[in-house]
Amino acid sequence: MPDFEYHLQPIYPEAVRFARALAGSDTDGDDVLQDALVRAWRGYPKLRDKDRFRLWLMKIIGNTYRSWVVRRKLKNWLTLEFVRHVPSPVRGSFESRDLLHRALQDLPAAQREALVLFELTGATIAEIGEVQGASIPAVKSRLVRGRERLRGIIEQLDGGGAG
Amino acid sequence: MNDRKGSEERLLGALADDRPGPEHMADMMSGVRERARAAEMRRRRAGRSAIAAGVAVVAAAVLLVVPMSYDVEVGDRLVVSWPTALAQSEDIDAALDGIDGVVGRKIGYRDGTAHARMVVIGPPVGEVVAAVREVLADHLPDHATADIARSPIIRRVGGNVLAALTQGSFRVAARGMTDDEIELAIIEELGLIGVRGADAEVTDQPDGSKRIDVRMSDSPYDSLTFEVEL
Repeated sequence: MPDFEYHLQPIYPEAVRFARALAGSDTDGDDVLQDALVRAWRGYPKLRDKDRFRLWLMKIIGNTYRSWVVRRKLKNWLTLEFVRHVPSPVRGSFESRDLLHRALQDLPAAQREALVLFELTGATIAEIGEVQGASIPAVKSRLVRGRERLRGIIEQLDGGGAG
Repeated sequence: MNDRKGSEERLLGALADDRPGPEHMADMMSGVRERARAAEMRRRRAGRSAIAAGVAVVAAAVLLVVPMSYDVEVGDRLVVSWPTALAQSEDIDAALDGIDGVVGRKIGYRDGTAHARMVVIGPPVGEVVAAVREVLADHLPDHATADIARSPIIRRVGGNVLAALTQGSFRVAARGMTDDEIELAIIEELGLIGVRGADAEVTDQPDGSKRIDVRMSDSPYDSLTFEVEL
């Protein structure tokens, strides 16, 4: 299906950043992205308006991520290895991308998704509203609150807010 | 304070410039195509399984519900004959009784010849014939001749299979049969519905009717009905 890759190519870096930022690591993000691309590949023939490919794919990535979280929790419960994630103070040994990934994981899911779409994929507020099925004021609120909260988490993780 | 306020923006900005290498998309799409192909094969296999299951359900429904009528070979009749003067016929009869697959047996004598009529159900008839030959070889002298005649027992199955499985009943169309043939026919029918080692005896009554006694040592049925049309 070369047509699929033709549409994917220009937005591929955005898709990678979105998935990785949602999942909190490159490895998990690439897993989520591959799951999402398999779904998109199967659903592509039914996508009538190919101009909407970008938003359509971002929506699939978001949905796939949510399914992936559920699956991972179930798997951890089944193997009795599930430990609730508690943010621990980490000093400045993290590289910036690791620090940001970790900080994003402590954001509420809707705020994280909105912020990542806005900052890392260049999606507009209206587009985010479409992906999330939310109104424009709701998206704006998520962005503002998400940014404030992210700042606080980064300061805590980076030690900036400790003193 | 301003540095702190901008910390998340700097980090987000750094991440926004993060670009995967050129080979990343090629590798990713290779995995996507492979998984999509595997998923498609699984879907097709599941589809075929569903069709097979559907066919099985329909076939079972046909067998259990739809009335049908067909001929089926359900066993064999063997008639073993030997000269009574050359052997202890009771010993041969007793030995034939122990052969696996012989579900009923009647012995009669006529013109110096013993005739053991046997109903065989279950094992291949060739194995039963071989066992019969061994019995005859054990009890008859070398120069004696014995005959073994075989004919298949064929039944027309009517109604539906569900009824055939659940009913402990049968019918014998005995018009024109001799008493011996009626006895054997009853033993056959009993053997076919799972009653092994039964015996039947037909005796003429003074009023012209016939009395039929059936003896069964073991039966899988709580009650059993049958009809003999004379």
